[in-house]
Amino acid sequence: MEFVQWHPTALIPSGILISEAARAEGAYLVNREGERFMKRYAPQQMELAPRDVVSRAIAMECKAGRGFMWKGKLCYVGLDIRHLDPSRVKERLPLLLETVKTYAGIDPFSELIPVAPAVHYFMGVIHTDLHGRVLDPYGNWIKGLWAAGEVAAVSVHGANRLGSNSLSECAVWGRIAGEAAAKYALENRSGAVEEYIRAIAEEEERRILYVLGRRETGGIPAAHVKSASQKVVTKGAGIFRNAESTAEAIAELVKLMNNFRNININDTSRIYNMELREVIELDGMLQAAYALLLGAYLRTESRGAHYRIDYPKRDDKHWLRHTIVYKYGDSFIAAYQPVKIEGWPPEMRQY
Amino acid sequence: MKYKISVRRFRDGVQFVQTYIIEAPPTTTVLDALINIREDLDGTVAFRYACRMGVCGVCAVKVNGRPVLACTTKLGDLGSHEIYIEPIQDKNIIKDLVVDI
Repeated sequence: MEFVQWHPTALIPSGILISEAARAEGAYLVNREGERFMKRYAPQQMELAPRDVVSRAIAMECKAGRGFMWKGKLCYVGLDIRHLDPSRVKERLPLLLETVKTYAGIDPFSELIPVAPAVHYFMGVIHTDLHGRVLDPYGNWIKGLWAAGEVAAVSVHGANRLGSNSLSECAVWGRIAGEAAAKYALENRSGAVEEYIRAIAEEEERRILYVLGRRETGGIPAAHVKSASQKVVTKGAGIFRNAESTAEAIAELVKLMNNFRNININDTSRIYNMELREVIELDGMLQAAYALLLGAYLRTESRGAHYRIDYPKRDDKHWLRHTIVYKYGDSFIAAYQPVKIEGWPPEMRQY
Repeated sequence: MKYKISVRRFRDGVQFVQTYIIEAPPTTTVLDALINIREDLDGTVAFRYACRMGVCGVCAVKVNGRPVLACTTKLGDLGSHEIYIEPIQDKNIIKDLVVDI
């Protein structure tokens, strides 16, 4: 869970992605001084360096005070397409032009596009095997359960996904998991499920109906807990991490998890209840955030998207392994599994 | 800028119009205004949205009588501080602005 990919160029302030295609077509990234700062971080690849490198570079420029400020609170840099041929841009990047005009209200042929890194993709999440089957912490398949796409950690991406690979992941494992699930369903037509799975499902249903039936007044709005948790995780395990920041964030997050118990829900209807869905999502979000922070705190090295200021080097001797976080009662437990390397051992990353 | 946003609501077979007053810059989209209403004023108002960037079409609603995408329509471009939001036409309404698509 600790490997979170930041996309370097999200539009300010909406957070809508400005595709890598812009930089592939030759767009520059510039700081407030008009300097193509990537020359300091990746002199060969420049703007086309991997996402984690570019995101860290932008964050470094901001730390050094060379970024622009949006409303005095959000640091960003400029994406410059002014030197590109407008007719080619119109042909190759129509969505970019439309998005920038609608959501930033600027003309990218005469002004810089304001961009900053934004959380984009989770390399980890649900532990699965190569067939997309969901595994428990001991490596046993949880019968009848598959995961595919971003939510699954098949481990094709390692600690750092390359652009577009999520699409192939969806296509490949979507098919593998889909076919396997269909086959399983055909072979198990009786609909009988194992007793313990039925018990879990019933418990979950009771939990949700309990939330729906509370009908309390007062309490804390879910949106507040959500925005507070976003701040906590960004601060504790954002682009740069260290032992102190992640430990503090864990403590803060535990407080929010306690607040979550006092969340108020106004909509008690059983039809298209957005509020209930948001509260259930928030519950999952808080637990995922805990797993993320715990993994980031324990991993005392830097690898791919996980960058620890206090441990800036990759440490294959100790850390060539997967973090598996699972719940035991109300406690979160972190376990580790070795990474199986077949064919291509990881090399030194140099830019 | 102050906006008076009226939402045509429908729940449990009952239709009514509910009005909210919000304070927002004119660059705010209709979708963001609805999200603000949900988060700050009334968590029970329901609508659909997904991509938030004018691609998927799920947030289509009628604003001041015209069918639009809530996420690409800005409050300041509507030419009025009074905004009336209703579900798109000719679809069965499931709840509030959510129709059977």
